[in-house]
Amino acid sequence: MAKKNDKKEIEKLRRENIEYKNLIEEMSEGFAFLEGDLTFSFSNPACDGIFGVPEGKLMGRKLQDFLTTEYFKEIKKNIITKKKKKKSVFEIEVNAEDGERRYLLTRSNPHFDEKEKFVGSFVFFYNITKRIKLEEELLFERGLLNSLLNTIPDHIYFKDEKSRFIKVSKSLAEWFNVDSVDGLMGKTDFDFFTEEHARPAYEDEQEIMKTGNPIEGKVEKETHPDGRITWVSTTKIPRYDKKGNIIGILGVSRDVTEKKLWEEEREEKLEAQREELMELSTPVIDVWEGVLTVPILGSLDSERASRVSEALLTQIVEKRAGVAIIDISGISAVDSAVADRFIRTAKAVRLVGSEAILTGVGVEIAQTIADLGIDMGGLKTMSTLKDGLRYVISQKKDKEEKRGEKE
Amino acid sequence: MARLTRMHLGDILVVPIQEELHDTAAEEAGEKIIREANNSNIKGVAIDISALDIVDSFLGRLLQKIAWGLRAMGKEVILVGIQPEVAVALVELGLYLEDINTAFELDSALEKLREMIEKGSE
Amino acid sequence: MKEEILRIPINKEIDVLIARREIKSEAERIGFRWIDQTRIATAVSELTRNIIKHAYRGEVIVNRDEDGIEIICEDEGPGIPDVEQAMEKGYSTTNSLGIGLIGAKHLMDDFKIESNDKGTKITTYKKLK
Repeated sequence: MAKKNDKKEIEKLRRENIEYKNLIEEMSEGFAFLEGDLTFSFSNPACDGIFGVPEGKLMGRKLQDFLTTEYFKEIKKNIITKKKKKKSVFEIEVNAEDGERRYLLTRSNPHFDEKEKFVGSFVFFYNITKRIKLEEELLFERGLLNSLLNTIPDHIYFKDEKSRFIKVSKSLAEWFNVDSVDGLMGKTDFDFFTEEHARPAYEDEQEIMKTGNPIEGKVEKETHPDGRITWVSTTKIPRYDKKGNIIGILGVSRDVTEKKLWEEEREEKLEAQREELMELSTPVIDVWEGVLTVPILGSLDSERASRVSEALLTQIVEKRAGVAIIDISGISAVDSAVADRFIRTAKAVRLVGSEAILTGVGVEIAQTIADLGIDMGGLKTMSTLKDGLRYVISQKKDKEEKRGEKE
Repeated sequence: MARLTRMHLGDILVVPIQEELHDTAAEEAGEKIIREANNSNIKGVAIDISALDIVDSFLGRLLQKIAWGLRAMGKEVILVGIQPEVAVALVELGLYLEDINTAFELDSALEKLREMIEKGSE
Repeated sequence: MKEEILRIPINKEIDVLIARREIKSEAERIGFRWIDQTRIATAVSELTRNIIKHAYRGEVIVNRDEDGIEIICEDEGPGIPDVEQAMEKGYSTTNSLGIGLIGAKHLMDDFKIESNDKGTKITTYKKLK
């Protein structure tokens, strides 16, 4: 009977042997036996493939053939020192002979004979090249992003669906007077701006996340808690996840404060120039004692008429001028509205206690006035400034004579 | 308004309006001026409004009425010290007060008044 | 951005003086030229007088925005039956209401009247130049 059992045993062993052999031949992970000096004494097809050699050709080859020397020393140390019956797992980089460089996750089990002597290691090689490459790419991209965020002067910010900062540029941290970008994580605009700016900015972002419509180049006024006011040009776009859902926003704000201030200054200067021009075009001239003249040039719209009145009346009162000569020879057109204006000015002059004389009423203007049937209301008119002055002087003379007679 | 300041300079009555008057007070003041001027010694009245920086249509027309009243009594009237901005506002209200003579300040007002009185008596 | 800066009740004659004085000061503070300050004050005087004379009681509300000043005169009086007519005749008759309205219209830049038997609301605006 013993013989039969033995036969069965042997059969079983033989079958198992074949099965194991097949398993090893078929598996996609590399499997090898390395001797003490790291020579391959066995390798499965997958391992041959990993090292880039034809099947079966790894035997007798040394592991160091595929590694750079420094690397090899490192590995040898690791594999050999693990003689103490411990498994070890580590990553290595090999130059396969098919020209590829591969990254392998290596699991090594030391093997001992009956006398507990180290004979070599069973080693599994897992090809993790793809993962490593991906990691490297990721690190590289992250490095690029961080470089960008550390150096770019524009304020860049990634926010989540609640408008909280997720990642920001260094320039933004500096803008908020915060030591590092970490100081912004999880915070919102409300933590760094006053309500005046934070509220509409928040609402913009919520709107973008709701509709998917970006904002481009919007000029915003930033109001800071310390009273500082700055201006930025802002672009905000929605951020999507892989499924296409909106999960936040990306914003870029460029500081345009200087430009804005310059624009405001320029506008102020222009306004001042306009004022000056207005002033210049209505000069009140002191022609004689107690006689002022204001030549009106160009057009007389209600704005200018208002200014002429103001300037004239103030000067009359200040200088105690008895006569104001309003010269309209330079007026481009006279219609009833224009006539109305200088008549009103003349009446205001009278109210203030002075006398108004209208000069420069040439033939054409006189005709227009007659045609339009404008009532000059007792306002004295003369054709030239000279006539006006002559009149004023003769009036004065008369007065003095009368006074002389009395005395 | 309890008191209306007034000064007699010979035959001229000078009335300075120093404070803002609401309608009723203004009308009372007007009556006082007419009563005061109704005196054979008075030949002319100078109403000084240089202290007023706002004169609206009510006051403007009241001044007109006072002037007519005084003229009707044979007195000469002159309005003194209409400020530039007041003049502009009055003109824009359409109140030209054309039949009342005007002057900047009291000195020239008195001179003019004197002339008017003399002309009147010619 | 409109902002209310004053609200003055008009119940007695003297409120006319108070309202126009305060509003003139505000106009100065806002930066209006002296001539416009007077125009505004005179317009206020005209309109508030109308309230006292014809509606007995009312209110002046002053709002400002970046371009100028808005002055609203409101009352719960009997209203102006025919606004156009009142403003037309104002010149020739002694209709003080009409004169006041026309005056205010000329002195201010924008002028709007809403009136019915429940009351009158006059909205005026002066631009800061």
